[in-house]
Amino acid sequence: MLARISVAVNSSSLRCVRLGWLPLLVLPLLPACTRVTAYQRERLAHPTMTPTFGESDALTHVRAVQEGAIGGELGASSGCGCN
Amino acid sequence: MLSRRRPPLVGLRCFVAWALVPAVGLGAGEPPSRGVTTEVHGEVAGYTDSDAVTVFTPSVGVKVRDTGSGWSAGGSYLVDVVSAASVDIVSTATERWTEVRHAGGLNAGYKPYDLGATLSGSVSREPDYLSLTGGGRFDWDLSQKTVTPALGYAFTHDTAGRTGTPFSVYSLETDRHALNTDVALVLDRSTTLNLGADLVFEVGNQEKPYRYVPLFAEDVAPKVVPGMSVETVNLMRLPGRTAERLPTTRQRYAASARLAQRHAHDTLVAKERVYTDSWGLKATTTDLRWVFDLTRQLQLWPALRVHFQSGVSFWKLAYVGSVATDGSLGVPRYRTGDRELSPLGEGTLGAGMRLNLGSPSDPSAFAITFLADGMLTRYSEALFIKQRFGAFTAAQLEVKL
Repeated sequence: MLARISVAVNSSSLRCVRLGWLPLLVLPLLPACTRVTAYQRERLAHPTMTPTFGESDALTHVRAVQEGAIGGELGASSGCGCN
Repeated sequence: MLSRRRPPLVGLRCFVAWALVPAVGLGAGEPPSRGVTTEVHGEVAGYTDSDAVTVFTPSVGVKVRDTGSGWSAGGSYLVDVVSAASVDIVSTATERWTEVRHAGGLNAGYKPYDLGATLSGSVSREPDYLSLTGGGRFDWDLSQKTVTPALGYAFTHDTAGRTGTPFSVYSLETDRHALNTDVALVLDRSTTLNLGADLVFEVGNQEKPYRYVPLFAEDVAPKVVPGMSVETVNLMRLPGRTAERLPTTRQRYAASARLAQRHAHDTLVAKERVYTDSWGLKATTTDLRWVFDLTRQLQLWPALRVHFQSGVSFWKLAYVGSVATDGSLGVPRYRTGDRELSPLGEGTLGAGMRLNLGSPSDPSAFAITFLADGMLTRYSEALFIKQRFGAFTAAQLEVKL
């Protein structure tokens, strides 16, 4: 994939970089991850690994009212790479 | 002179090209097997605390997903029945009130391969409050779905008024722009890490129309201590009522991380959030949950949450006012009695139980979950109250059709 992105850089003008810099933020993270094939994702696919497991919208609302901080609802639509 | 301006849409085309390269390259595999699934979710929750506040919240939700084409759509609806006679209310000589909030949301998503988009909208309505939100989110599976960055934006328009008075006669309005970015990383066969950042910009009048702030003479203010009773405060404060006043802009920033690790018979989840904003409030929030599989059908877990925050820069235990010779009241520029903006610490101990009662091939297709949390909040610099005990319970039902 890195090679493909490299080709894209070469075939594009430098102006591409002005709006296309966002994916670069992710590139440094790629080597940190292990290639996990589909048949190795049994544990990742376990329901307890999803960000919504054990959460409650009502409890989230109670905390939003009582705490001065907001944010941190991570991975609402993504997460284990198993779907 | 020749124009050196770039042609319109060149930048946009380049960005789309950037986006499509990995989407095409990584999405070359076969799409997932076709099939429409429907998930129905229901919850009945209750909250009560030592400050005479009770909340009863039933809610329902549904999500339909076509894994073959990549479409999904969902909706949710909840009702909050709030009954309160807290010290804030008592201190303004107001009796217990009961209020009902209705909230509904719709969302639709499309993710045929690795690049997905979701649109969402929600409405929250109370007799004296209306909140409208619309937003969108992109997420992008990279490196065989081991790296999933996402970017989202939501706009919220809030209108606060007084019960029985039309918004056209009296209302306070606030706009909120929320930008969220996060990345989900698969670290190994049993570990995921989510990293995220939230940037929220608020513009408008965020004062609560019913909230009044007691003011004290300069020589009296040092004698005011945290937790002082309503009666004592009324004896010491200056006469008259002064409405709350807050800055009209607020920039809020949060950074978060979530680490989840699945072992043979248990799952450990740890979350951390750090927060700061332009009003000077700083906070840290830590969540831990350890889920144990007692059997394939039964899971139990303890949960711990710790939250600490400083107060906003203009927070005062006792705001100083002055009475001029003509009787007019001199007031501080910003003043609030909102304890959410004061220094506080909160600890939550909780437990959960999930019963998976579905078929042997998919036990979680029919699941019942029970949640129970006990919370202790301590206020180090607030009038009327030093600490509050709260209890939250919920029963959830999830069914896959």
